[in-house]
Amino acid sequence: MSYYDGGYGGGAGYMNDSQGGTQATPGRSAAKNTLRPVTIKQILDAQTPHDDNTFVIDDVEIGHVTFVAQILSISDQETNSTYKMEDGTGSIEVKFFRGERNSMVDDDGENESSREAGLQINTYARVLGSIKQFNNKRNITTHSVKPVTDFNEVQCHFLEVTAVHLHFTRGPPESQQGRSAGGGGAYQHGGAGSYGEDTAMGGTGAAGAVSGGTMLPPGISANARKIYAHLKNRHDSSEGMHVAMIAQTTGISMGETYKAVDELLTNGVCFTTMDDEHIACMDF
Amino acid sequence: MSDHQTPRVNASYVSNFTGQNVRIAGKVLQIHGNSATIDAQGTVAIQLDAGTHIKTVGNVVEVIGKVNGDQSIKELFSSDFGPNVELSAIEAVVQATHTYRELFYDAKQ
Repeated sequence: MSYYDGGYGGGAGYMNDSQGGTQATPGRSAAKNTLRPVTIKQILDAQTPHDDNTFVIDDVEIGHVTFVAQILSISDQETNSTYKMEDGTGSIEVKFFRGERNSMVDDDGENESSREAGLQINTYARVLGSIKQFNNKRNITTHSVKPVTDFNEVQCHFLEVTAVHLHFTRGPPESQQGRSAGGGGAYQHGGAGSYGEDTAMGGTGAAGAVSGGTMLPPGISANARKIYAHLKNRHDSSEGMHVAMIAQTTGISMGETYKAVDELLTNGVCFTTMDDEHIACMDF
Repeated sequence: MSDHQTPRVNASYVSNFTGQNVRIAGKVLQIHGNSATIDAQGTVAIQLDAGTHIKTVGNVVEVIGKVNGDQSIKELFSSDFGPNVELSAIEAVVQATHTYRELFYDAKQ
């Protein structure tokens, strides 16, 4: 057992392998607090590997989503307004609950009605909500639908979507690695969700911090990053760590661990020590 | 689902989408009766709809429409984005759309 000795961010510094002792799936609750910019196509394509209401995009669990789209139709009901929206990549129904809206933020009590008035058919709006699935049909429940007033926001949103997608699938750009303990760390926390089972926030925080200071190539996978950070934080191991031990302490499956270790070896940031199964990192 | 997809294109992508619906944003160059031309990294002719929002030369507009055989676009709907929209960002979105297509549209078979 070992503590991560850095990056106890996010208020959840669990011991990495102490999952049995912590309550209620830390990975999932961590993902619940994330907000990711997405296209509607990504929402419709999102996978549900665990159950019908846990959505995964690019192997990363989704908490809240935000998108910019045009309103196709509006139907007002007793308790909610339903907006049918499309952004050029797909269309989805957005359910806007009044009660929830009132209780959400207190400073928008007065201009609520005028804000709704700005939401007309065919106008662009920014939605912030969460994905729900009912009878195999996905929709969004939300407490925030706001009209877009500066159309640069539309372009900005789609570029942000692309940047976040690339961050998760290829890692942060080199220029950002230096500050990945801060900014990138936020994304890394989202990453924690995807390895859901027993990934702790402390662990991913450490991953962010470590990869920030080193020369991990940009294309490296999240698992490999995590393992690298883990090895990096063990100061006692000049002889390296056994692959099985890595898998056990990081909570990554054996198969995935071998893959990730292979990646690290190929990239020359780690090397094998006394036998092929003991791995240490290069810049100890 | 893909019925609702309107990939964002510029003038050079238009020919890849003949017969399909697309979104194209650009600066209005000319308006003549029921046709207009916009600059979207190249000039594109738009066949205006009766309810068009393309009214001001110099403004940036986004047109949703069907690509005709002659590469002109028959407008279905348009939005006036006003004069102060960053054209380079529009072009960047077009490039991202086609480079990382999995985020934006399904290829027509």
